[in-house]
Amino acid sequence: MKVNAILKFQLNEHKKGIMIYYFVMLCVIILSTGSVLSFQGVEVEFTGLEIATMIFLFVCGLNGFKEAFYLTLQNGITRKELFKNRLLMVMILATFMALVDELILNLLNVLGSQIQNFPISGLVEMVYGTFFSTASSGMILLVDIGFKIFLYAFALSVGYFIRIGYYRMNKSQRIAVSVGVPIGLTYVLPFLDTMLYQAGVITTPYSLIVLQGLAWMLGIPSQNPIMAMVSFFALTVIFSGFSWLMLRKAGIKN
Amino acid sequence: MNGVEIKNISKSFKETKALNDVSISFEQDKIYGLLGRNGAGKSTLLNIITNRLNADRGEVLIDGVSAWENSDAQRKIYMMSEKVLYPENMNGEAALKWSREFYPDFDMDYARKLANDFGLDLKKKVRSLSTGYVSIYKIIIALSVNTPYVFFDEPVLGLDANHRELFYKRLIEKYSENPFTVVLSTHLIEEIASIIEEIIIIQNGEIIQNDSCEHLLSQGYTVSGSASEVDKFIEGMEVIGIDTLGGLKSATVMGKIEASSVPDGIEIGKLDLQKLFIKLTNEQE
Amino acid sequence: MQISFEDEKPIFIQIAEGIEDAILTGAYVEEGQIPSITEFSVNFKINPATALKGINLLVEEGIIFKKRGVGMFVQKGAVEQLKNKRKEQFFDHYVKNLIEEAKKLRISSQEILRMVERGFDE
Repeated sequence: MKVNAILKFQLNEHKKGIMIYYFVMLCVIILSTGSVLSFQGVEVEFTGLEIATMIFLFVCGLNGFKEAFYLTLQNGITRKELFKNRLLMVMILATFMALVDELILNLLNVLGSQIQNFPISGLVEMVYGTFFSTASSGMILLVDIGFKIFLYAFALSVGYFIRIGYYRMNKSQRIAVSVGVPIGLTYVLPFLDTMLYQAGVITTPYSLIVLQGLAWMLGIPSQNPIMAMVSFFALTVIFSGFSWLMLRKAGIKN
Repeated sequence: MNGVEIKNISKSFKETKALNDVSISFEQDKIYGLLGRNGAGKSTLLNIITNRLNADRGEVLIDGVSAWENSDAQRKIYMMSEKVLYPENMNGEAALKWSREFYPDFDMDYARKLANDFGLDLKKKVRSLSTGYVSIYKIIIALSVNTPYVFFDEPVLGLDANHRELFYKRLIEKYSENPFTVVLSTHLIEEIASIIEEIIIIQNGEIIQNDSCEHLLSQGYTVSGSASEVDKFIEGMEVIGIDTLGGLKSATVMGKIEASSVPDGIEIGKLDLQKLFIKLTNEQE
Repeated sequence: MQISFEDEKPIFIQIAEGIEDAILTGAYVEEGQIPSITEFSVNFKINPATALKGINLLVEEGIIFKKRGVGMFVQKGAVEQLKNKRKEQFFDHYVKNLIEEAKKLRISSQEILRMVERGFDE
């Protein structure tokens, strides 16, 4: 089967980045293993792989729009075809990275058990401890990989969504969003929240409700990683939906 | 119907009207000149035909089917745009390879031969090429895709005289061996006057001329002579422009002139496209 | 062969006349092949339809003939035919004008002949 050209292009776009990313990861692993072995009593925890990959894929999402879009326009490919293959690419990339990360974590686990003071843990294991101690090993492996796939797909979709959003905005809108959103989230909303709470207008601070909502969505209180997978999937669908709405009639810019 | 039909297309950007109810068609296997001053709406029109911009109103048909978001229709078209749509770190070699992926009839050997003729280093990335070589990079692909419709938007931008000559020659060669529809969009009318069959002039988002070159040229004349005689002669004629140099006057007039009615002191000359274009597009300022 | 875009004559006429000149000077010989439409159009940077139109003029006059799939050739006897044609044209363009002007200036035919002989001698 001939791979669709625009799918191939989009996959190709991230090839180099992924290679560099895993090369850096390898260096980090060697460095941390080295320091554990050479300095007695030093404890190095290796925990953030999934988060690092998520951030990396978020950035990939941010960078994965414009060039593919313009090449699409140059070569008479429709937006529909671009987007369809974009979704396919997200699935392929998220699955690939999830499998590689799972492999790395498992290898490190084997390595970690041989060395003292080198605890290795995956994100799922850390957040859903109860699930980990009760579920069967087959189930754990499945959830471990599945969780990563949905998390990574979500990260890619959010990055892509933001990039298209910026593309569709004009300069002043862009500045407004770039300044407004961070200030709003870090100062204005928390400030209002505190004010309202202290004034007795609301009995529970909104921020607390939001945090509880997030925890619920991620299935943390119920120790249910499936819940998180469903949430990430739903968010991926929502962000992709908005991306499509913005892409549908996007045109070339001068 | 075969060909590209543009029906009642309008497009605005914020308050500015870029195209206003434009209807034209490009027939199969003809060479068109799409002429207009900078900002007249040429690129906007081409962008709408090639699915790069969405029209506010109207539709574009390619061989009878709607062009918007239609891969089957778009596959028949290639447009070399003024704006570079290839990633800036993509070198010529890669651009050719990707073009072959997208266009099944892309002729790789021919493209390499052209690169060699123009002296384009295929190892260089678009980003590091001069304006002229960026144009060449795009020209090479446009001449090698073998689609039934090829649009060139300002193809000779930054090209020196030799490369321009080479471009026109290769284009004619390709066309005469295997005809396809060619649309040359430019403000440099003189260079393409002998190549184009049909001429479309666009001004302020509207089509002000759509005619065959030959017919258009037979529509007007230049009348020159002493100022007083010219004035007398052109009375009642449709005059689109006048140049005066001392006591000499040269008027560009539209319409037929009876050879026998021309007095001795008056000289009738052939209309030249460049002059006509300048006159027509100045008129509506 | 020269094509001038400034010339009053349409380009296809210039192409036809250019080929005629080439045949008269022997650049294209009788029964010999002439360049193809593509070669003419590429060489002069003109639309192939224009070149075709010019050549078709000569085909109609029986000066050029086409062999399908092979190319275009100069007809046998084309030089003679062209010479006759050009002589006719010479008479129409030059001689008629000459005589018209001569009548205005009241120059007799003997006088014209003497002038012509003088022109040849110079």
